[in-house]
Amino acid sequence: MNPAVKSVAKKICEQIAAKGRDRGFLIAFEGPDGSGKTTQRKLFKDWLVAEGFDVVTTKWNSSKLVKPLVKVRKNARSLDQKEFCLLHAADFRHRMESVVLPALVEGKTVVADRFLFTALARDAARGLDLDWLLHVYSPLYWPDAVFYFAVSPETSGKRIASTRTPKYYEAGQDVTNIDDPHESYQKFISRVIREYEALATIFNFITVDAERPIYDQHVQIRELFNNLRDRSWSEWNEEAIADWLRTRPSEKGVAAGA
Amino acid sequence: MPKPASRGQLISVDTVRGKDLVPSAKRLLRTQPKSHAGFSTWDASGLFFEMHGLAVDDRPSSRTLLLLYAADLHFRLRWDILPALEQGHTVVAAPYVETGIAVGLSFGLPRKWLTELFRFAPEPAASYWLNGTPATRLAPTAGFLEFCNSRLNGDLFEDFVSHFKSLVRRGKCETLR
Repeated sequence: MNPAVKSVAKKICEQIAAKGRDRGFLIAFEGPDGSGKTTQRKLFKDWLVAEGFDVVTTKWNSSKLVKPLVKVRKNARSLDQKEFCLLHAADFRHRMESVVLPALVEGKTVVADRFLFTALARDAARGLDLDWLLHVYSPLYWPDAVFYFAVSPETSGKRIASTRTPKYYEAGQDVTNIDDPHESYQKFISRVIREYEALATIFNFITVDAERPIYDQHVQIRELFNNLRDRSWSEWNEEAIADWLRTRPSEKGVAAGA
Repeated sequence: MPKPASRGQLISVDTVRGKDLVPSAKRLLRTQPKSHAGFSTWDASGLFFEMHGLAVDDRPSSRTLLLLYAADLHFRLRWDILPALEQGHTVVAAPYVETGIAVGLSFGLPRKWLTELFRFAPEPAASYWLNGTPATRLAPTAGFLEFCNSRLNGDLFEDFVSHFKSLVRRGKCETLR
């Protein structure tokens, strides 16, 4: 790597780490559909703002550049498992580089409604190799905390069925070959939850019982967040910062490392 | 790279100028003994064309563009290349994996990341490289190199060419004349 880029990345990382509990945090909300994580994410964001934090929210598959490309292909049901994965990875990478990392470097707290682990759980449930997925999504920036909203497949299925019919890919119909979206969803979400549970162990998620009352969960998240603020910043993230500096487009050529 | 488990033959051709891809693929096909033959070109999935048409100021990084190139290549494999190979046909893929790797390396992406990214793509039976003069004022939709140059304000030409010259020197690819 270009030594100048490495040096800039190191300086940025030292500045982030030096801020300690006053730095910007990356908090990920993960869990199956119908687990109530979006409700909790909104409550948490409002609370952070009331506490004086400068907050940025990022949602899954929401990059202005890639989302339209994905949407049209999802509607046409034309994606296979790997294309589904690669397009979501492109969307994630673009949001990391244009939204998440700039905000964190500016000291803002980023609340992610779904993060990397959504891709890992869903794509692994679609039969893709976890090792390949981690390569595709690398370099990885580890959140300060991952709140995992745990519900049973039955609860997830009931909550979804009470509000809408799951869409083709959401129901995993591309891999289950089941015509009925609700039945397919039930089968697919069971696989996704199994993958999430494995990831929760590997990556040390903070599990929140998403079948408890909404306000109780919110209070628990506030307490957990206050406790984790004393943890030091992960030096593992230096590689992701350096990569971002090196590969991002600039006005006069590609970053400093080109 | 996995070997294609089929009766057909996969040939790759990569080149500097996007507009040379189809003519060079056709030239290669004429030299093939089999009558049933076809080619597969960049952006068959329409990803880049559609992105070019979006009224969005955001510019993607080289890594994002490589992920999209891989998605397009996977689409081409699924619809153009593998079905033809399974029927015993000859397919010219223009461009193929090495264009993605060359662009990625030119932007300083790690080789290991690039080779893992394209792990799904079968190894071609023969690989060719067509040199040329870099395109000037060509539409970004002419080819992946043009698209990257326009989106990233870069000039990949020299690094791109030296990657293929190195492949030719190492016997991994032949120059198409």
